[in-house]
Parts: sequence; C-alpha cells; structure tokens
Amino acid sequence: MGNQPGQRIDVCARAATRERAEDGVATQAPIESVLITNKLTKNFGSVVAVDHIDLDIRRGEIFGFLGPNGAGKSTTIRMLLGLIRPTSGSASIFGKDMRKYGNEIRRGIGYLPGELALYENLSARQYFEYTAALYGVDNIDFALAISDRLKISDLDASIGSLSQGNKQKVGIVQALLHKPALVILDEPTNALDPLMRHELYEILLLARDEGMTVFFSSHVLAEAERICDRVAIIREGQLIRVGRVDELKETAPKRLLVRFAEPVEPQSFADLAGVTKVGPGKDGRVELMVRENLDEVLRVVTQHQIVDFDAQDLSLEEIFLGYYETEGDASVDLAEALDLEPRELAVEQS
Amino acid sequence: MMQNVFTKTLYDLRWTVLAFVVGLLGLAFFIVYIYPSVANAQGNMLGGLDPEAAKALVGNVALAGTPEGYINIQLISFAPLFLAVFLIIVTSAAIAGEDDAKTLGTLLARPVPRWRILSEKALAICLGMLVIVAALTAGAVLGAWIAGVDISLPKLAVAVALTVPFGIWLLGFGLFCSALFGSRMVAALIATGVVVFSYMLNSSTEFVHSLEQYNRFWPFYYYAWGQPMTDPIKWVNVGVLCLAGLIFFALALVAFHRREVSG
Repeated sequence: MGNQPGQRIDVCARAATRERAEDGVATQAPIESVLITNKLTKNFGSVVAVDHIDLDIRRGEIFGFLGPNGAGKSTTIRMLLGLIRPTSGSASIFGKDMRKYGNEIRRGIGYLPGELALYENLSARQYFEYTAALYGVDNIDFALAISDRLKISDLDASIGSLSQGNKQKVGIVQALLHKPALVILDEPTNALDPLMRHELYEILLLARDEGMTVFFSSHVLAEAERICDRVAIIREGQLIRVGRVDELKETAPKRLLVRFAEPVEPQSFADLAGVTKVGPGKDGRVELMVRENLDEVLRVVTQHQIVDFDAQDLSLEEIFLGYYETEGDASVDLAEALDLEPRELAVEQS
Repeated sequence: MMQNVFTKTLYDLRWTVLAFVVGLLGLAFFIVYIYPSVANAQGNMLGGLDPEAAKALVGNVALAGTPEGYINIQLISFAPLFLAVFLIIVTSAAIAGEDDAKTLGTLLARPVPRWRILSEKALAICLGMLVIVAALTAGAVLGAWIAGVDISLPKLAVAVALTVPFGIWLLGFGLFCSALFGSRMVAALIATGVVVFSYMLNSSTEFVHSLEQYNRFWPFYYYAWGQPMTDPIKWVNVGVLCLAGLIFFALALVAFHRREVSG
C-alpha cells in the first residue's frame, strides 16, 4: 500500500514496539528489533530533510538504506547516533531511547561516516588503539586481523599519507574493531576497488552470521542486492518502500522482450490484464512489462509467430529507478506494479 | 599511549607547545638578559614621557626607570598576548576545528559523554598553557639571574606566572566560542576580537578616563600588569579571572551539549 508520511510500512516487523518507544518506555521493546525509529523527522529551517521515517531493523540482518545523495540517508544516520537532534519523532536502539541512553547505546555501535575524516597525524595503528580505548576494549589483534584481510598498506604510516582507498579501509576497521552489535555504515564502499568491495561484503556477511546487525546506506544498488537481507528506499526524506530484496523483485513486473516474424502493433497487448507497459524495444522487439496473468499474456503473444523471446526479472536498480524517475511512463507503470497508491504516484510524479 | 581524549589532545598539542616553550623561553631570557645594556636608554625614555603615558606603559609609575619597569614594558605587558595566540589557536581547534575537519562526528559516535570530551580537552590545553607559562617564567628568571639584574627573582617569577589567571579566562572563553560557533575561523576571530578590544580598552583608559566604567567588564582590567614585583597580589582580581573562565567553561559545556554536528 502507499505510504504517507508517518504511515507504517513494515507492519509485521513493527509489532507493538512503536508505542512503547513513543512513550519513552523503549526498554521493553522486543529483543528482535535492534533499531526502531518512530516518525523520525528532521527539518533544517524550512527544508524537510527526513520526513516521519519509521524503520525497524532486526537483529542479525544486513539492512540496506538506499537513496541518492541528498535523499536523507546521512541525516537519518546522524540522528540515530545522536549527532543531531530530531525535530520530532524518536529512535530507540537495543530497546533504549537514543536521547536518554546515548552513551550506553553507542558502546554497542560501530560507525563509518559517509564523509570519512580521520586524524591524519596518527598512524592507522595509533588510531585503532585510540578508538579501542574510547570503547573500553582491547581488540587491537582483531583490528589487525581485519586490516590484514583488507590489505591496509602500512599500519605505521601516518593516515594522511595513505591513499583514499586505504583511509576508507581504516574507517571500516575502526567501525568493526570493538565487535559492535550494530554497525552503521554510511556509503562504506566509497573509494574501494572491486576486489576490496568483495572483501568487505565477505566481512559483513561473516559479521552477520556471527549475529551482528548491519545498517548499510548506499546508492550502489548492486551491492545492496548482493548482500542485504532487506532494503528501505528513501526519497526526498520519505521512506517509500521497505522489504526483502527478493520480495521487491518478486512483486516487480517481469520484462518480456519479443521479436515477431511479422510487424505487430505493441498497443494490441496494452489492454491485457496484468500488462503494465508496452512499447517498442531495441532491435525491433516489443517490450512488455507484466506483473501478473503471465499465462494469459503468453497465450496471446504466442498467437503471433515469434523469432526471439526473452523474459527478464528487473534488477533492484531498475526497481529503485522506478521510484526515482519523475518523467516517463515506465516509472509510473513500474510504481503502479509495486503497489503504490495513485495518490502517492501523483506525489512522486510531481 | 592514547588512552583517552586527554592524552590524545596532549599528543596533538605537543609540537605547538614545544614551539611556544622554545620561543617564549628564549624571548623572555633575551629581554631580561639585555636589561643592563639598555637600562639607561629605558630610563631616559620613560623620564621624558608624560606621567599618564608612563603609567599606561608600565602600569605602575613607581616602576618607571627600574628593572621592574623595563620588564613590565618589554615582557609582562605582552605576555598575555603571547599566551592568547596559543590559546586561541588550540581552543578554536578543540571543537570547531574538529567539526571543520569532519572528525567530530566520529568522535561523538564513541561512548564518551560530551562533557567529558570537552573537560579532557580543556585539561590538556590547560596543562599545555601551564608548561608555556613555566617556560616564560623560567626564561625571565634565568635571564635576570645570569645577567645579575637587581630584582627579586621570586617576585619576578610570580609576576610572570600571573598570566595564568588570564589564560584560564581565555581558555574558558575560547572553548565557549569553539563550542558555540560553526567554524574554527569564526570562533578564532571572535576570541581574538575580544582579547584585542579588551587590551586596547585597558590601555586607553589611562588617557580617556570616561572609559574606565566599561573597562571593568573586560579581562585586562583584572590582569596584574607586573604588580607583584612591587605590591601585594590582588587575589580578588585573580579570582575574578578564574571565576569568569569557569563560567565560560560551563557555558561551553552547554553549547557543546546542544551542538549539532555539521554534515
């Protein structure tokens, strides 16, 4: 269903915890939810950066927080960490209200900022020692093990002399070194080469298997598709979709690309039930977006002589773009296929 | 080695403190050491001045033409400004500087309360300031001792060391500006403006007496200006500066607690 600001999106996961967090009695929230936000909102003057966001992140999942730059991802994360105050709404982490128990909560959180800046006069080793000391742990060996896996070039050189990629690796290690229950990574693969991205994915998957919860913001859809259990899509400060990656893909339409032996008018398929879009594809093909009733659509299509046929699932990126394209029929139809209300469509189109 | 914000701040300050220690120790030593060579010139200069002007320069006219007067003009009247340069550099860097450098967000994401971060930074800066004042004092005393200047060395030491209450005031005020303002540049400019204005105001009151009523609201009014070399210490003034420093530090805690980390 469509989601107006503040409307609940992921009802099954939210359970009765919302009201408890709202009342500031968040300590009684079910243990399954590691992070819950309740109508979290942030205004900067007249600009609404984050608009009534409801999130529910569960223990042991990798949760992707997807949106382009400026959508409100980093602002949401900074509110979750207590770096900025919400204009309204609340957030509870580990069942405790963030504003009341900030320091206690932060002990269990690892954080990698999107715009990473480190103390450039320190070496990576010094930085890890300092970070570990602030968390009150002695996990240097663990930090060194991750560093080794990420192949940080020189742990004793000043951070200022490291490449951007190596700085990003240092940032990743400092977020993980105290083995936090929840790690919040804001665009973690920035500046990493493909091999190191793969290594980071492996580390995060391993961390999840050991019970760590990963909250992961990104605008790179391929990585979210690869490692996230669930994703939320944020657009102009509003959550417009939350769900499992496979659910999103399942509920998205299938793309059929058909090349006929004789010219066929694409619009002749437009009235078929379940067809959300038709039009000319590449190389003289006809493209159909089919959300349901595939059997009947295929029956009609095969009444014509077919030279070539291809059926495709939409990638998460295409689904994602469906929410962001503000012009063109494809986005409208795709959004319709994803169960958005006409009213919300109107908002998106505006 | 770096076990907390205090030790990390000390580590960051080490070269700055060392530079000020070497520079001010050498400067204080040199200024006092050459006194026997310039004593006559100093006496002639002050003797030719209007008494009010001499008072503006040496603070206490009784010091004119004496080693105390010379040291007052050449060293002690500038000592708080030397200290101000150090304090404005490091206090503006403490919060606003970290925010500018984008390291503040990561620091505040650690499980360390903001009051503790600011207190540990203040403590480290205070320690750095004390080391610098100690070097300034040592330089002056060493210069006087080696050159055989006819002056009470303990009183000279106390006179130089009385820059500390002024430093405590500026430490508090500087941290307040750093916690309140969004950028290091703004925080440093505000603190510098207040110090310079207060210094100029205090100097001007010797000539423009109508300004005296305003002077008491500014820190240099309470600075000792070398007085301990001839008169008892005004502990009230010391207390006022220290208290004002603590009040500004408390305001800095409030401002830092309410601060939103820039994107």
